[in-house]
This record gives sequence, structure tokens and C-alpha cells, in this order.
Amino acid sequence: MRERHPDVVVVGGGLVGLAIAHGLLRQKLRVTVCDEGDRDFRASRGNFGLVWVQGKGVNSPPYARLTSHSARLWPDYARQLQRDSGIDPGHTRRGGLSLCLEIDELAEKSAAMAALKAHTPGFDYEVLDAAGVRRFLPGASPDIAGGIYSPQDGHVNPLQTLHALLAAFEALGGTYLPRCRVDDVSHRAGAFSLTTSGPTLQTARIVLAAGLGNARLAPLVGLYAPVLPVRGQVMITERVAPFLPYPTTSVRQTTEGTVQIGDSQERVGLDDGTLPEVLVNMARRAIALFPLLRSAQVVRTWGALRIMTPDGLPLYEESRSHPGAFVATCHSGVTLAAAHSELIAPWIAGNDAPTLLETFDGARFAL
Amino acid sequence: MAPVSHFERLPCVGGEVVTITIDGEAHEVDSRWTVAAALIAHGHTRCRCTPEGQSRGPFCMSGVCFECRVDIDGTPNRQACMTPVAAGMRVVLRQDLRALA
Amino acid sequence: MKPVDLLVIGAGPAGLAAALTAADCGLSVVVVDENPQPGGQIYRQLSDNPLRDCEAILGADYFAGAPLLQRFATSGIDYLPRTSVWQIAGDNTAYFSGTSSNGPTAPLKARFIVLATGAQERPLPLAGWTTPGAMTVGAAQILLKTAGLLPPRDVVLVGSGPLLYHFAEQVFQAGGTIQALIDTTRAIDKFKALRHGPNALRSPRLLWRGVKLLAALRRQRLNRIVGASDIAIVGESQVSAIEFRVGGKTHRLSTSSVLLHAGLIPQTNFSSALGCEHYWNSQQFSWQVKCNDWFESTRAGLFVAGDGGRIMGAEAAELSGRIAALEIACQGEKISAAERDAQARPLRQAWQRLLAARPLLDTLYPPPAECFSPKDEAIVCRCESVTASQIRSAARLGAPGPNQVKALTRAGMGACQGRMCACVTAALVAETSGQPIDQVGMLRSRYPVKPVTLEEIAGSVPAACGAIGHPR
Ligand SMILES: Cc1cc2nc3c(=O)[nH]c(=O)nc-3n(C[C@H](O)[C@H](O)[C@H](O)COP(=O)(O)OP(=O)(O)OC[C@H]3O[C@@H](n4cnc5c(N)ncnc54)[C@H](O)[C@@H]3O)c2cc1C
Ligand SMILES: Cc1cc2nc3c(=O)[nH]c(=O)nc-3n(C[C@H](O)[C@H](O)[C@H](O)COP(=O)(O)OP(=O)(O)OC[C@H]3O[C@@H](n4cnc5c(N)ncnc54)[C@H](O)[C@@H]3O)c2cc1C
Ligand code: FES
Repeated sequence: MRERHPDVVVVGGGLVGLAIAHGLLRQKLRVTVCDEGDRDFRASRGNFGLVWVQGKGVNSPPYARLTSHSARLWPDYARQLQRDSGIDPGHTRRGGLSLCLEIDELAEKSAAMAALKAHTPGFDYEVLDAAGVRRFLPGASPDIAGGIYSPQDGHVNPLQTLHALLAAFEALGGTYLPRCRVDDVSHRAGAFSLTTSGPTLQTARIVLAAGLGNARLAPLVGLYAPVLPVRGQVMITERVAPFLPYPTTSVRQTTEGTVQIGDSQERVGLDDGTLPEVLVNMARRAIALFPLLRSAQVVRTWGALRIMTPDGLPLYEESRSHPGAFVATCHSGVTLAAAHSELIAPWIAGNDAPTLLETFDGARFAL
Repeated sequence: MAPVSHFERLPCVGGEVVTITIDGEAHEVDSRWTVAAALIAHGHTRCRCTPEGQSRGPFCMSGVCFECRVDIDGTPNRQACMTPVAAGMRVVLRQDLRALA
Repeated sequence: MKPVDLLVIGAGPAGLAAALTAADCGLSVVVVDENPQPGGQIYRQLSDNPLRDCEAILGADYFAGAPLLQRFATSGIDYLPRTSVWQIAGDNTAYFSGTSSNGPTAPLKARFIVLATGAQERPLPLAGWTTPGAMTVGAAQILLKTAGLLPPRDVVLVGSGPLLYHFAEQVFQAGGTIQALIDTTRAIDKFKALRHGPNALRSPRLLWRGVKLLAALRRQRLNRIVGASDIAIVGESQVSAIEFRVGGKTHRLSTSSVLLHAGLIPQTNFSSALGCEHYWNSQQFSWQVKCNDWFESTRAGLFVAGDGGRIMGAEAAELSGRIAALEIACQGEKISAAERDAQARPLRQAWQRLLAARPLLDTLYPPPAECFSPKDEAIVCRCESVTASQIRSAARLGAPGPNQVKALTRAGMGACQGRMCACVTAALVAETSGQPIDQVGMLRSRYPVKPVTLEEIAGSVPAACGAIGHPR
């Protein structure tokens, strides 16, 4: 059967795996994606949807460059995705803001932006006081300290993006296998054999894009991916008339009209629940930023687990001991989706490793 | 014209009569009624519009479906079927997405 | 608020019985219900019913609740009406929203919680069922019980289940008429039901009630239509007609009111959000929380009594509440295990007798096929206007269950928390993927169980410190 002997097996059907798989199909490879079940951990279903540049890689020029590059690729990538799937991922790139309640916070952010600009070609930003913020976002409180605007920032509808990726994958002839958890990988004579909860798969190349699952899978093919969960809690309101023309890092309005509020950062292991104290904090901060949110009805809260490497930077590597086995993981899989599809896929298809990805191998975690 | 649905009022005892307004029009209702009962009794089977523009009205009368949401005394999105009427109550049926204010 | 031994959520027969029994044993108890009066679904508005002829119209079952309500009214148990619980934290603290005279109700921590939140009517997603003027039979019954409102004379009832006939009888008693009752039950179901007959004889009173009901309806010359398919409700901003096919012919009845019923299913929002184990009950075609003989869920200290656990009816619901309370009193060291067992024995026997008729009822009135396989054009998620065809497409893309379908289509993302669509969505995934529904799984419920304003959340507890923001 075709799907049991594809050119590449991608393990993980989240935003990272599907973006790479989409790119691989456009390289004319036969691709199978195996994924887990309906209730397993999936960051791709619980995220905030930002394609975000400001603040990424302040201390890591390569990460800042990769992020910037991906954000630049996104408009074309969104069109490609829509052509392939018929579904609009809802990408807009009009700029975005991060807001500060306190003046110290704003000073700190401004310094970080200056550092980022120094090592990131093409990155622009503006430091705004409250009045300046209100020119972009009339609903913002006049009592905030201010914020940073960057025209490079944008956002997508993350769920429509996931839907579009799945539909594009299907339309371009990929094979998606849900309920197909990869349990073991063996390697003989240049071929991988994957034991799964479904069929056994044979292939020459595999891509580990299993999110938190990578920690367990990577060592099976001589790789090291010490990722840990970092929980984010998010709230979403009823749909309201448009009032937020630009996204911010903790409050944004979706294309449907709902307002997404978040997100916290907690190291709590594999617990994707919610915590009243944290929700209270988020609600208070959102109201302090946008007093008119007070009467908005919250219809849902959730927790989702970020996939975090020890230094917070992405991990892309081909195994030395098991050539043909790759690992790809990061904590900003929305932002980097365009780069994953456009840069990583050709590399896996056999081209040279792109220079933009060079410094992101796992050697840096070795003791 | 769309037909009007006429629920019939059966003989009742006790309770008081209070006046509420629905979209500005005054109606006399039994003080033990919910807002949704008042709507239905006065032919308002439709009470709101979805963002896609579809008409909706009270469906379950028991707080489950959330179809009966209306503005009550200035508070948007109250469940009409879970809210008892009160004298002078102002009920407004919403036609579009509400704006935060 | 000061912590209590027991918080009971829901003041229907199950919740009231649990509260009274627990209080009798010496536990401190708080009862909360979002309705203005105790009584739950069945005994709604019992203490102050507006209908002049309520006894004749509503029947003896309704008034059977009077002693229970009376006992509760004089018990002195703390009771919070018009208050809904929107969240239960991991430490058993419940969060309330509602209007009381002295501002918002502070969160309450309880050692034990009884969920007695009851059932809801099973959604029957026919084409056009979102049209204003289409309601559930239960909704019309509530209008009759609490407001003295009788459905329009051209009303058409559609679906399956005892409540359909029970309500028809109440309408006739009140002097109303029914244009037609379209029964979706197939003859084969009646045949299948026969094998449950002997067991059901253990509960003769229930059966006798059924026989009397059907005889009465025949006397009223109810226009009963069987074997209808392709049922569609017609109208834009108000129902104007209902269409259906019988024996290859299309029929159309002009009407301003269509009432739907397809039986009851437990409300599982809290037990799901709290991570309790659930299973698919293939007899009742619904997800149910897994409980032991004392109605304790797989989460220690959390009990689920009444129709919220499984559909059992008001009398059995009351008994289940009492049985659960005895175990709570025992765990709370108010009574010994021997006392608990002695008191529970007769209750349990009575409960089992009542439950003996259930398999017969469940098989006699299976849900209409549309509950699991609606027409492509029918809306399944009412809140977000998602059609069956959109859900089928998502399932064809490989969505393994309702949670992924939700992410792809928004089905289940609205204010009702999936109450109206979750079961249908899971069934559609099962149909498309060929997986049995118990492997497809259920929609995970999240808080708030009912929407609350951001301000209510902000004011619910003193805030703790924690980093907020986007990772660098
Ligand atoms: C609250 C929150 C907010 C966020 N906000 C943003 C944002 O604004 N912008 C941004 O760019 N990023 C954001 N992110 C991060 C982004 O969501 C993730 O980077 C991205 O979704 C990761 O995708 P993934 O495919 O690596 O992981 P996942 O979505 O977790 O997918 C991994 C998949 O692999 C499967 N899998 C695991 N093990 C196996 C196995 N053994 N066999 C087969 N399959 C397996 C899992 O079932 C899962 O489907 C946010 C994350 C969170 C939690
Ligand atoms: C619409 C409908 C009509 C019915 N008609 C009949 C009939 O005519 N005859 C008959 O014999 N049986 C009827 N039944 C079945 C009967 O109501 C039940 O068997 C019986 O009421 C079960 O009792 P209970 O205590 O389990 O739940 P219920 O009586 O349903 O009580 C549950 C209570 O919990 C409250 N509640 C739920 N969620 C929350 C929350 N988050 N916060 C606070 N409070 C909450 C509700 O307001 C409700 O009062 C009907 C059921 C329904 C749903
Ligand atoms: S009518 Fe269903 S919630 Fe009010």
C-alpha cells in the first residue's frame, strides 16, 4: 500500500508537522503524517495565533532573523495555503502592539527593541505613550504607560490555519493517519520501520514533529530533544463588533469577533487544566488595558501546553547516526509555519541545510 | 408576511400583573413569568439574529440552548428563559453583533 | 464563604433528597440552583403554580413532589436560588454567578459535592430546526407549567419518547388541540422492546401509567403519523410549515409551531470538565459518568445523582440522592458503615425496581435516526451555525473526534458549551470514519459551564502573582 511506503513519514499532525508536510508535498514527495487521537496534547489547537516578530530573539540574532524571515514569507504562504486548500487562514500583517501598564516595563521593552533592531535587518518599531497607543487602539485605557508597535507583526486565525493545512495536505495527495501513535522506530539498511498503534510504516526519511512527544521519540533515532511543557491559559469571549484593529500580545480580536485573552506561562508538567487564580489575573490585566472588556462574556477558558526547549529556541537537526531522520520543534509554530514549509521541506527533500537554520541543532543541549 | 405563533393564555390564579416593555412596546404580564414566556405570549418567537444573519428564538426554556439571549435593562445577552420578569423591565431584541461600550 | 461539608448543585428531586438526607445525618449543606424556585425540571413552580386547573392538567406525578419541597422549605438548609455554578476548581471550590441582593456570592469550598444538574432533551437536528417557532416539547411543557401558556392550535409534535405523549395528554387536558404528532419510532423498535417486557413487569406502576396514557390519547383521536422520513421545518424568521415523506409521498402541513422531542440525555458538563471517567451507554445512546454503587464518580468526593448521571426518572432520582448522601455521611464520619448499609438497603431495592422498566422504555422509544445522522443541510451546532455537511467534511479530513472537529469547524465553541451538538458531532465522526462512537470519544467540556462576564471572573478571588505574556 502506497501510504505504508511513503517517501517521508512526518510524526505529528500539529502546525509544525503539517507545515513541513505541506512543503514536502509541494516538493513532489509522497508523504504520510501519523498523529495521535482526539484528546492528546495539541498546542496547535490552543494557541494565540500571533505571527510575532517584536521581542523574538532579543538575545539570539539567528532566531530573530529566522522569525523575521518567516513573518515576511507569511503573506505569500497564506495565499499558497488558500489556493491549495480553499480555506483562508485569516492572515493579516498590519502590525501589532505589546502594551505596558507600568513605565518600568515600557523602558525595559524599549531597550530590548533597540537591541533587536541592532541585529535584525528590516525590523522596525515605535515606542508609544498611552495617547500613541490609543491612536492605534481607541479602546485602550488612557491610564496605561504605553506600548511598542511593530509593523512586522501580524496574526492568523490559528484554527483555520490548522484546517487549511489539513485540507491542503489532503488535496495534494498526502495520507493523514489519525489514531496512529508512533511507539517505536527501527533503522536497518537505510530504511526506517515505524511501529504504531495502527499500521507499521516503512520509509527512507522521517521527520519528528511530535511536539512534546519528541522528547521520547528523538533518542530512538540518535537525536536529543529535551522539550518540556509550559502551560498557557487562555480565555475567549462571545463575538462582539470589531473594536481591536491590531493584535496585542495579550488581547486580540479574531476574524469571527471573539476576543482572545491570555496567555500565562506556568511550568506545571502535563496538566492542561485551568486555574482560577491565573484566570483572575488575566481578566484583571485585560480590563486594565481595555476597560470596555469588563462586560464581555467569557464563553470558554482553557489551558494548552507549549513545547519549550531549555533555551526557548527552536530545534532543527538531522541525525548523524540515523541519516534521514530529522527533528523539528519550536515554541512559536504559528509564526514559523511559513519558514517550516518553505525552508525545512526542501532540506528534508535532499537540498543543503538552509543557513538560516544552521545554529539550531541539539548539540547545544549536550552537557 | 410570516405567520404569527399564538400561544393561548389559560385561566390563572394568584400572582400580580406587571408591565414590561419589549422593543419599547408595553405589555402586561404575570409577575411569575420568565422574560421568555412573556416574549412567546406576545408572538415574539424570534428574539435575536446570529452573526450570520439567521433568526433565532427561545428553544429549550431551561437554560440549555442559549438561543433566547436578549438585552435586559441594558445588560446584553441575558438568558430570557432564566430571568423572571420585573415591573418596568426593558427588554430589547438584538439584530446584530453588539458593540462593547 | 466558610467551607461546608457538602455542596449540592441542583435543587431537583435528586439534589433536594441528597441535601435533606445529608443534613439529617449532621453534615453542613449548601444547595445552589440557577432557577428561582426549588423543584428542578419536574416539580418546577410547584409551590406557586399559576394555572387555575393545574391539578387536572398537570396530573398526579407533578404533585407527588409536594412533600419533598415542603420538607426542604422547612429544613433550614442554606439555599442559593438564581445562582449558577460556572466553575469547580481542583480543590472543590465552586464559583458562582448570579444576582443576589448582597452582591456576588463568594466562592465556596466543599469537602463533598453532589452534582444533581439533571438531564436535557436530546437535540433533534432536523432541517430547519433553528427556525423561530420550533421549540422542544419540554420547552412547551415549561410554558404550560409555569406560565399557563398553551401551544397554538395548529401545533405539530415530532419525535419519539414518553414525554411526547405525556405532553400531548396535558395539552388535551387543558382544552388545547394538536394538529399532528409525527412519531419517528419504527415498528422494529417495538419488536425489539418485547424482550425487555418480563423485567419491566417488576415496575408495574410505570407500565400501567403508559397503557392508560395511550388509551386516553386514542380517545382524543390524536392524528398520529408514523413512518415519516425527510422531515424538514419550513420558514425564515418564523415556522410556516413542516414537510415529510410517508410511503414515498411528500406531505406538507401548514403550522406556526413545531415541538421536537427525542428523549433525555444527562448533562455532563461538570463531570467532563472535572476529568471524571465517562462511558457510552449504548442502551440510552448517551455519554454517562462512571459511578460506583453509591453514585460516587471516579473523582473521590464527587457524586452524581439523578438524571445527570443516567436517565432514571424523578422517583429514582430522589432515591439516588438519598443513597449518595448516606455514603457521604459515612465518609464524613457521621454514620457508621453498618448504619449506612442498613439505611441504604431498602432505598436501593426500590431504586432497582424503578430502573427495571428503563430498558423497555429505552428500546420502545429509541432516538430518531436524525439524532445521529442528520441531513447534510441541517445545522448541528446552533451557536455557531455549523451544518452536518461541514462536520462530515472535517471528519473526512481525518478529525478523530469531536474535539478536533471543534477546532476545525467551530462546532461546540458557542455559549451552550456543546450541549446542543456534542453528541451529534461524535455520531457524525463515527459514521464517517467507521469507528464505534465509544472510541470516537466525547467533547471535553471547559469552564465556564455557563458564560460569565470578564468582570465576574476578575472579581471572583484575590489574584495571585504569575507571569503573563508571550514567550520571548
Ligand atoms: C497558550 C499558547 C499560546 C501560543 N501562542 C502562540 C502564538 O501566538 N504564536 C505562535 O507562533 N505560537 C504560539 N504558540 C505555540 C504554537 O501553538 C506551537 O508552537 C505549535 O502549535 C506547535 O505545533 P507542534 O506541531 O509542534 O505541536 P502540537 O500541536 O502539540 O502537535 C504535536 C502533534 O504530535 C502528535 N504526537 C505526539 N506524539 C506522537 C507520537 N508518538 N506519534 C504520533 N503523533 C504524535 C500529537 O498528538 C500532536 O497532534 C502558543 C502555544 C500555546 C500553548
Ligand atoms: C425538559 C424536561 C421535561 C421533563 N418532563 C417530565 C415530565 O413531564 N414527567 C416526568 O416524569 N419527568 C419529566 N422529565 C424528567 C424529570 O425532570 C427528571 O427525571 C427529574 O427531574 C430528574 O431530577 P434531577 O434532580 O436529577 O434533575 P432536575 O430536576 O433536572 O434538576 C436539576 C437542577 O439543576 C439545576 N442546575 C443545572 N445546572 C446548574 C448549574 N450550573 N448551576 C446551578 N444549578 C444548576 C437546574 O436549574 C435544575 O433545577 C423532564 C425532563 C426534562 C429535561
Ligand atoms: S431557551 Fe434555551 S436557554 Fe433559554
